[in-house]
Amino acid sequence: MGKLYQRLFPECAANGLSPFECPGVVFVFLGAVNILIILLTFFIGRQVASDELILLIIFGLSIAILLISYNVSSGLRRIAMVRRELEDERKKIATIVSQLSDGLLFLSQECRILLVNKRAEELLGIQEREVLGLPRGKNLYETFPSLLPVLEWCPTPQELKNAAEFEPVEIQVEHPAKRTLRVTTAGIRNAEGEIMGFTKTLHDTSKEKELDEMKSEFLSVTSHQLRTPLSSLRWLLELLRKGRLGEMTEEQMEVVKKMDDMNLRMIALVEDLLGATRVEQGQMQYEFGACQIENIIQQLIEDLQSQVAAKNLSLSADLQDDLPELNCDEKKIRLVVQNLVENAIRYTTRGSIVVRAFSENNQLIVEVQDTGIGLDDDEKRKIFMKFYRGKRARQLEPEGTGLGLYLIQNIVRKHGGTLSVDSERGKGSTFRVTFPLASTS
Amino acid sequence: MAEDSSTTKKRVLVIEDESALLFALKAELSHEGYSVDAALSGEEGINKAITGMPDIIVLDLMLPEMSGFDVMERLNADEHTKNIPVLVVSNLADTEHVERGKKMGAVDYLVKTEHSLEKITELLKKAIEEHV
Repeated sequence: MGKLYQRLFPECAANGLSPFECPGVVFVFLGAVNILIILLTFFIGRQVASDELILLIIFGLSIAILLISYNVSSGLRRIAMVRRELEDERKKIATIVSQLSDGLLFLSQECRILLVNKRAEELLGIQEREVLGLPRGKNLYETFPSLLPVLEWCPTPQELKNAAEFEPVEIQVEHPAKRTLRVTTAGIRNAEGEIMGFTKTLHDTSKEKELDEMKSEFLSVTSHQLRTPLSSLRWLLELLRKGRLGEMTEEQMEVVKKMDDMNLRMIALVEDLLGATRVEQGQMQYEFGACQIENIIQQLIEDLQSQVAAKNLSLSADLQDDLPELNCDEKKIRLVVQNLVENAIRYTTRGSIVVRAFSENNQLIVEVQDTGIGLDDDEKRKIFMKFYRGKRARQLEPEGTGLGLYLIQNIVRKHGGTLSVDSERGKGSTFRVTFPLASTS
Repeated sequence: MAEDSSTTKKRVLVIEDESALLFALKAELSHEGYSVDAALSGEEGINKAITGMPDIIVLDLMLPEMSGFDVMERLNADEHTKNIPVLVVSNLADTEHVERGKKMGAVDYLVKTEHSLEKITELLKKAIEEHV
């Protein structure tokens, strides 16, 4: 029975209507009553009395009216239910929006404000009811100056059509308090995909900046404090290694060597942390002079040969003849190349590492190519971020700080250059540094 | 090396407040054939410099009460001690400190974590050859 109903009235069945609520069923029923009446009048074998016919028609009609009114009332009930659900949904979303820890503005395509949540009111020192629907422009900005940096740029309808989300921008607002806000703009579409407007999300980064500064200060102080015990350990272990404090068994010597290695690694980590804090506090000092990049590379390759040999890798240089001189801070550029080559060694388990240097289009280019674990697209995007470490990189080398590339990218930028990476997962990576030539940075 | 007596027992004064570092420096330098005297503070260091007239001073900068820079200033101001070469061995690695140290006459400025004892000794030997 249920199956027949589903087959005959799929629309009603799909919407969960019972046969009594289904207009189709009512229609069929009315049809059947009509046919019954017609059949009765034709085949009853005698003239049907008019009062009999009227009674029959009244009977049929009353059942039809009964069904129709049941239909209508259940339809009304459903509409009320859907309306309540919608209202609940709307309230739920409104509560979520108002409770968001980020400010949120909803704007029409013409950049008129349609909604301001509580946090946005706080951040911008405005009241939703004061600004709803107002066109942007001088009048609005004179009354609500904090809206100027927020609404200065609104996407055009064409831009909204082409992109769902736009690059976040940092803005400064002075009122009601001095704040740095990161504004993200995103288009809003309805179920049919038509653009209804867009949102602007306001994230207060002032606190983050303050915290960042505190963190830098903390790192800098601790790193300085750490240097003393670390250097003490280094020297004391050296005394032991050299047998200055008496002979040791082979096993003891082995342990001391391991301790020494670990300690040196800690020293390197602390130096990384210090370097990063210096970059952040803008305290990194540079001494520019004439550099011969080929000398830096050749010296490094010589220094790192033992590390390379220990891993059965090969490390070679491919240097163009007569490389032009570079205006650089030699110590820092050495750090850049060293960092890239050491990374290549660290994240390559077999194969080779090649360091290339050549000039092209008035640029000096240094490339470090390896046959290591490589990077996927996500890792490539994040690799230069502070503290970021790829998952496989962490597995291979649990100890890194994720600061090396961040640090050297800053150094390269200070030289007016760029640092980029080309890589394929499992095949290897090529890090590429470009320096502008004939520039004094 | 110790056996190489061409370094006729040069006298080194180490001014360093961290006992572990002092112990390591003393042990290594003595082994390398130097006669080592130690001071744990700036004041003590200045007194020992004046009375002992060492051939060279190894100076830490972050000392209690009187900083290594103050010590250098006092040594420079004294007729007797102003010519004793000073080798700064410190954990302050910022350019401004390095420059200040060199400007005040340090023959070299070494950052502790960056160098092994062996390297420090080698640079000390070089400084003695050049300045004593």
